[in-house]
Amino acid sequence: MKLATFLILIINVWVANAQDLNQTVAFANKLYEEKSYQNAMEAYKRALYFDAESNFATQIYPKVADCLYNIQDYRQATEYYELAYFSTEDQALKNQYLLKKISCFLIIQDYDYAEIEMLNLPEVLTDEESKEKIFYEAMLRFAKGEFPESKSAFSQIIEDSTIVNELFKKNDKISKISPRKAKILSIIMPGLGQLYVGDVKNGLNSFVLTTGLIALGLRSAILVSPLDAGISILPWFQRYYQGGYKKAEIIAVAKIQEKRYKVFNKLLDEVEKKQ
Amino acid sequence: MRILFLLLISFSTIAQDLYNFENSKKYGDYLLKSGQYELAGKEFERLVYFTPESDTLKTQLLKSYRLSNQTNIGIFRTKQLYPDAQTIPFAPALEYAKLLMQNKDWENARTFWTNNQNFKPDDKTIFNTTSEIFNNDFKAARNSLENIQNKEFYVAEGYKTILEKETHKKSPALAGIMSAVVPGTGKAYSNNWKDGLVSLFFTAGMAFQSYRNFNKHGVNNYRGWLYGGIGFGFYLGNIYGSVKSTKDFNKKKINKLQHEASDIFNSYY
Amino acid sequence: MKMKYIATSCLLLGLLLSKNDTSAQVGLYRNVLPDGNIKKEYTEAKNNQNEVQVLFSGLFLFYKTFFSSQDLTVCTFSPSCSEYGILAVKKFGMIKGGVMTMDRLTRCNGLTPQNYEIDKKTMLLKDEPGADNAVPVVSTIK
Repeated sequence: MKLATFLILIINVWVANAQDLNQTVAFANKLYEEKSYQNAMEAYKRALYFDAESNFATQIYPKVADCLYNIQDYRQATEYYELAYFSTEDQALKNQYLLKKISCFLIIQDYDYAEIEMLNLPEVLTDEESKEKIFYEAMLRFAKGEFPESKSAFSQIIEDSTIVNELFKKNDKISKISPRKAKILSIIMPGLGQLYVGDVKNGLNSFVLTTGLIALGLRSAILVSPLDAGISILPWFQRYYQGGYKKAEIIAVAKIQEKRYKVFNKLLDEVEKKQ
Repeated sequence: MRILFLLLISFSTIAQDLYNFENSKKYGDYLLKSGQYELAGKEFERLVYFTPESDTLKTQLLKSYRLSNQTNIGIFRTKQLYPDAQTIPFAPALEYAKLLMQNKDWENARTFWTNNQNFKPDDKTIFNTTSEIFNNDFKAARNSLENIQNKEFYVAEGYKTILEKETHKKSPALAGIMSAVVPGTGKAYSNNWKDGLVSLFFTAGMAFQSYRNFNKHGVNNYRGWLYGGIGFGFYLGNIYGSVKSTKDFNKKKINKLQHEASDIFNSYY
Repeated sequence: MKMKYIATSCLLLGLLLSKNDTSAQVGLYRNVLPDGNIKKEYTEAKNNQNEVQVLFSGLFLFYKTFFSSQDLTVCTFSPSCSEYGILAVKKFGMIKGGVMTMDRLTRCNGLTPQNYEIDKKTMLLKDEPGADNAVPVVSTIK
């Protein structure tokens, strides 16, 4: 009898506890469904604070993570997906959280961490999961400059192989642009490196500026004195000459990025068309 | 026995409601302690709504607003919660005083604590001195501190040493004159001798170039005037810079003293 | 009560699983790669109030487009000296702003970094015209 009453009491307390925590969680879930993510997150965090026995952690962590994902706080979202990952034993859920984490790391351009999470995924995946994985793989490999791997992943998603081939051929052409070459060209002749990567404005600008300074220096060396010319012109010449070839390199890198960005987004267009 | 049981059960049910008074307070305190001031503000707003008579909760609410830098809302809410400023109890009144000081509303702050009935005279003196130190009026602060009754009050003692340190300041006017005579020396005077050296270099270099060009090409050539003009610009800039850097030097020193005062103030209030 | 709990948790589980079906949105990944845009926009030269400001903004833009764009990045400050110049002229007028800029040019030597705060984004020293560098006192009260 004593044991029974004790048990009843315990269960009562537990049920009461569960119910009220449950109400809070249910309220948070309602907010979540209404896409009021900020408020939902606040309610979830409150529930987490009072959930001393961690009965709800498995359920709340992924929700908080999803809220953060939806309010575009991807960095913090990864932390909650991590918590969610370790709070569950269900492999399907674990995979889902890992995939979400990869997504977050890709969006915040943290490719190395995305790759680590990629390696954490198990060999055997469901169709849906492996589809998602291949998509991330395709983007990750492209971002890391491993184009053959990216190509094979993209061609698994995009059925029309001619488009993929065409876009990756375009992409291979971009690889021929060399920032080093641009720099050397601009060392030989100011502005040449910029012209080489197709930036006419900066090429002419650099050329006119440096040759102008040389002309000015020569003029004052002849008219006034070489020392005078050296003192007044040489520092400026050094600044813009050196600046010119360093900028040529920067412009080349940016040009490559810009072109890759375009190809990448065309690939994404194709993926989107398919969906 | 059964009634006792039921009582126990119902009690436990109430105790576990996450939004009840106890739990909300617990959570609010946790939020405040863990630095989530904005969320704490929301929590205490709710608590104050349910128990409008509690001064502790109101104090916590105002504190949340102050720490989350929502100073204006905090001041506004105080006026709503306590329509009569004279009778605000000590704890919320202290919080309100801090809010007003944070808002740099020195005049209103002063009238507030002078008229409040729950502050002791020594408290008022300390508040006056603190606000004057924060407002960079050290002379008035010295005068205010004279009125302290309990001479062994450690806040007053601490303030005294701070006010004594304030006297060693540098003169911006002197720095300006020094730089006007020899460019760069004003900056050296304000402990920025490297900047001073660069200024001297720039001004002297331009002056030298100007002199050379006037000698070579005469007064009617633009070169001398060009270099001279730039040099004069550097010269004026240096005078301005010397005054400013001395002012900054003093400001930094005073700022440090203000922080010391703030530390003493917060260790007591 | 317990039934309700079970029911809601079932509902939740269902929700979680159903979420799995919607495949990844492509739109989110448009900016996975850097877009290579290195063009800068100069907000300092906008919203001119009078002719003097228009003139100085023009000079500033001319300098930025044709000279600064070819330069080594040598200024130790954020905002840079030319940006400081235009801001100072706009805020304090031609004479005081000009004098302030001359002073700034001599300070741009990188020898006394201890006098300034560091802008963590650009890793340059922070120095805005007319800014009060003192740390606010009262707001730090806990």
